[in-house]
Amino acid sequence: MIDEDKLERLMQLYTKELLRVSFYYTHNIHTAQDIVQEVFIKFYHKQVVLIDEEMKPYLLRMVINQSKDHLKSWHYRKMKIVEKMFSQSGHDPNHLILKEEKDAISEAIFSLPLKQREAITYYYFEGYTSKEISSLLKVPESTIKSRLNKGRERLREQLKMADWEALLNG
Amino acid sequence: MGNFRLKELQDLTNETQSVKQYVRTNLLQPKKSPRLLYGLTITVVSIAMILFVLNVVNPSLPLTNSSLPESLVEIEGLGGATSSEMFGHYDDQANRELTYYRPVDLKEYASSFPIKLPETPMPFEQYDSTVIIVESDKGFETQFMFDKRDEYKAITEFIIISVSNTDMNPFIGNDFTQLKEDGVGNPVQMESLTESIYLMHQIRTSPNALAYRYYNYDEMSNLISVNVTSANELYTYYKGNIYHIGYDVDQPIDEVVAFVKEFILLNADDF
Repeated sequence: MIDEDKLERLMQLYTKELLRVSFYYTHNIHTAQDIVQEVFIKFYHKQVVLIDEEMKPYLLRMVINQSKDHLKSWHYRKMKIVEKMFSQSGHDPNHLILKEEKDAISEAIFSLPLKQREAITYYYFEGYTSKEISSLLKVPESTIKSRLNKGRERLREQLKMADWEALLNG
Repeated sequence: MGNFRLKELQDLTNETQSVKQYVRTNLLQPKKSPRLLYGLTITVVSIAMILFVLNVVNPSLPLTNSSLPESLVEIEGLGGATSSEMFGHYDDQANRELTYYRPVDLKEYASSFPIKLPETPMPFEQYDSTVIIVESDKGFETQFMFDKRDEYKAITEFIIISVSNTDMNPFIGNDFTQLKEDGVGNPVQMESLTESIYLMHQIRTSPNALAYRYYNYDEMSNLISVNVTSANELYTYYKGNIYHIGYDVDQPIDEVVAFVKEFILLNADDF
């Protein structure tokens, strides 16, 4: 039974992580915020019978599914089209400077294909092991390891930094 | 690990507070009025029809689900999703739009996924099973089909276990404990899976039967279809999945029930 106190505790514990996870998919913090708040409300009304240890994985699955649904949505596709149109509409003289100021890792991460991106972000940013990622995404651990390898290779190519991995590890 | 944060995620204090505030404010909002609901229903139905037409025109929309096993090959299906005729009203399984994948045998499946198989009832052999996976916006449904066929490839004996990811527990808000019959005169009994979880067991004893639906793969056409037959059926929800099992009425009931229970308990954390 999820009562309001329980929900409050869950929000206290997991909101930040859920926001980050949703952001890894949506690349938009406002969208991530919308998704996470709707997930909490939905979770409360569903009253799914779960033991305490099952709650975080369940919430994570809900957020991941909602975030992926968002990527499939017409709203998202329309937004990407608009972004593309604006990015092509004029030449910004400060483009190169702005580009340098951008977080290179963030840009590289979000240029990864979704499957590699989620493996890389869970592993490096959330500190999950490949086994934990495998369990969360219901994908064999060997597949996760292969996605991590492919993701690392792409990042290495894009970032052109010898110690990019050390940077990722903080 | 985990010390690094993307630039946008370095300070989420405001966003976290906003989420909490929104949830507190909107948690107990009254339900939408019937008028609004009517409008919404019309809108949703219209959109569904448009999407259906679009899907017919262009059926190969790109897949984005990252949980997809990479070895699976998408194939066409004739449409439709399996569901329990008796419990389908409570779990929404019948209304799923599916992507279908070419079946794999259980050995191949087991090489990619952790699966623990209890001893199968005779005459089925432990790894003599075909696995059909379909995908919806709720996740995956995996169907394990143990069968024996005659020389014309017609199924003569079978146990089919379907495991379907869901976010809807049909046992919440619905008391099935008082069910004694399945609607066409066959008894329904409860088999305990754990101390608090039950398998609802429909045992066919009359000439009448509810339809039992399962996925079938036709090699000639390379298509998945939903087939209908009659069967004894088991149904439950456990740890985020709906389990729907059908088996032919000539199988030893106790052995099948024991096999199904063990199968669920051994693998529930891996689906």
